Amino acid sequence: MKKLAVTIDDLLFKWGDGTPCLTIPKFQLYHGEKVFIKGPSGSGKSTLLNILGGVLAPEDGDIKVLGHDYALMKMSQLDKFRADHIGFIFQQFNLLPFLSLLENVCLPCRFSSTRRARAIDEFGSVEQGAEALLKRLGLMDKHLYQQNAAALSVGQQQRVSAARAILGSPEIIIADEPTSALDVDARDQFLALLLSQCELSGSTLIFVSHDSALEHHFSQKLRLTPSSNGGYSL
Amino acid sequence: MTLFHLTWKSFLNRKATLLMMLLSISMSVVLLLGVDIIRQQAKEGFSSTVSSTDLIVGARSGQINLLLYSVFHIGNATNNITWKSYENISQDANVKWSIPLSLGDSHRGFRVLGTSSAYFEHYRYGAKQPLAFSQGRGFEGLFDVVIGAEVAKKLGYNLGSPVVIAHGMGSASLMKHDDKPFNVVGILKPTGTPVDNTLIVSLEAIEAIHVDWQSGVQLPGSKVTAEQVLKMNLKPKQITAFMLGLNSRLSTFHLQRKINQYRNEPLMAILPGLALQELWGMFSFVEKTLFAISGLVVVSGVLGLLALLLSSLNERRREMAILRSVGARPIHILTLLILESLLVTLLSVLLGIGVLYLVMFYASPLIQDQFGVRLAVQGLSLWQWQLVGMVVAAGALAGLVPGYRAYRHSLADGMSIKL
Repeated sequence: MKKLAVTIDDLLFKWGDGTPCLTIPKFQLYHGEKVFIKGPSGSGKSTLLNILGGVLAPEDGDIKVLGHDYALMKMSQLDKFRADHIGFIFQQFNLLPFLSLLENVCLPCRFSSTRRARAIDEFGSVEQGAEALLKRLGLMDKHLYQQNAAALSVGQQQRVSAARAILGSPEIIIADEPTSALDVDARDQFLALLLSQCELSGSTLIFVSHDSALEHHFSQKLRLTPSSNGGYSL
Repeated sequence: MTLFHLTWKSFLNRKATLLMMLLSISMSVVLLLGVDIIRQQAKEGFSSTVSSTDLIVGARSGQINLLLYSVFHIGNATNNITWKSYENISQDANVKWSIPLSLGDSHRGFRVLGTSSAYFEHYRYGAKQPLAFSQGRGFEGLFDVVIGAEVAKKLGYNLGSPVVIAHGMGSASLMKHDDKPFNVVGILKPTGTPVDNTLIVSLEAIEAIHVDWQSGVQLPGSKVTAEQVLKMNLKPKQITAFMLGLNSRLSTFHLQRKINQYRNEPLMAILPGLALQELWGMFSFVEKTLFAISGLVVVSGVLGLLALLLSSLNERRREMAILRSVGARPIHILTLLILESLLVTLLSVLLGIGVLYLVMFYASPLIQDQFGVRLAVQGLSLWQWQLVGMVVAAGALAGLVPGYRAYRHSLADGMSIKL
């Protein structure tokens, strides 16, 4: 039987001023699944991701990730949990421009001993893991690795971000419009690489975008739609 | 790759602005330490003007006045004391040695001191150092004069140079003892004390140039020539003050009381150490003001750093959000900012100390040349290290403010990177 990676029940999120923003009556995601969540800008995509990451706490409702109930966890426990089990890829400007490619990819393994241990387990060392993943994601040129991330094209930067999110095999990977800054060819290529790498590491992928053209890559699709209370619901 | 490594790389990324900050703080450190070093050395130089002397005796006035005219050759004695009193007291069983001092004449702005050969034998300055000759010897003949290092340098005198002594102080239109010129027979090594600015002759010489004078003017028609004066009895009748060295320091207070209660003449004996302290205390407000100003410069430097760090926070919000998304906790963000301001102040302090020593190394000879004050290049004192420590601590504290703000930001922003 497949295990549940994420379950959300009757979730309600409001901003500080009380305007309702997001309601999620029911959401379930199994290990290894890949879900596409479509929503227009302003529909609370980033809010959803911050809730899934445990950075924002909902007004009401339950959220369980990998069997951990966020409501019962302290801020520091959530921080550790996120560092150990969730990899993030954002729209753009994912990388610290003053660090080299390799240093950027290795960052999560510096903050999480769990991910460091897994990377060492899989590749022998964190750096070797970083190099292997960069290669798999199509960055073959080894002398690029020592260069500052700022020197890369946007497409290359997104691949580096993907390698960073995957290194240390976190159970869940959250991608927030990672392809919106890419052209069509680069976009499809990136998405194919990302999906195959998630497959390889067995990670669950939550992919958020406004772009319907990407939908066909995913088996499971969801939509953020306007709800009667003025916010959006999933 | 540690947090420090991250801080360092981030620092290098913004090096232009941070370097300016670094320079500004390091200059304030140079000022702070510089003022303190000058203060400390001035105090040391000041208190090393006279050493090993147990008592200074003069006419009754204030102890600072007596110290000023007898040791620093500043100002004038209120009254002279008789040679008889000097002889009486210096023959006391407790007295080991005595140096008579007779002041009142000058040569081109430099004081002339009449004394005995005991001066070269017993006078001590600094760490009980005796006077030493760079050239020549002490006075033997009546018209021999020994000059301080500064006098020799400023006036360009050598052994054998003629010296005419003027009556009173000042360098213009004084009555001169030009009928009885002196000859330089010795030049003293520099001491960093008022001795450098003094011409030293024998008491008899002082007596000799005044034999035909009365009440500060030369008596008309009673000129005594230099040849005649050699044959005269030149036993001094009065002197200005004298220094005493005692056999045992334990008898200092006893003898002081005895002198202060001397019946034949109103006398006063002072302990030079105490008087020096009291005199320095009078300067202490200048010293404190200077120190306060340099302290404020440091404070303004640190506030500048604080302002810079705060204003850079906004543009660094993305950096913080990225770090949060890769697993950094808010405490890491806080640490990052404190490390950064610590790094800036630490580098500033190191640069400041470096610049300070460079300046001292090159300026020390210039200062000695211009002001006659010797600036010793020496290590930082414990207090100065404490000052440095306080600057670094203030820098780290300054990092706490933006650190806390970034901490709050990163809690509120989470990982959503706002454009």
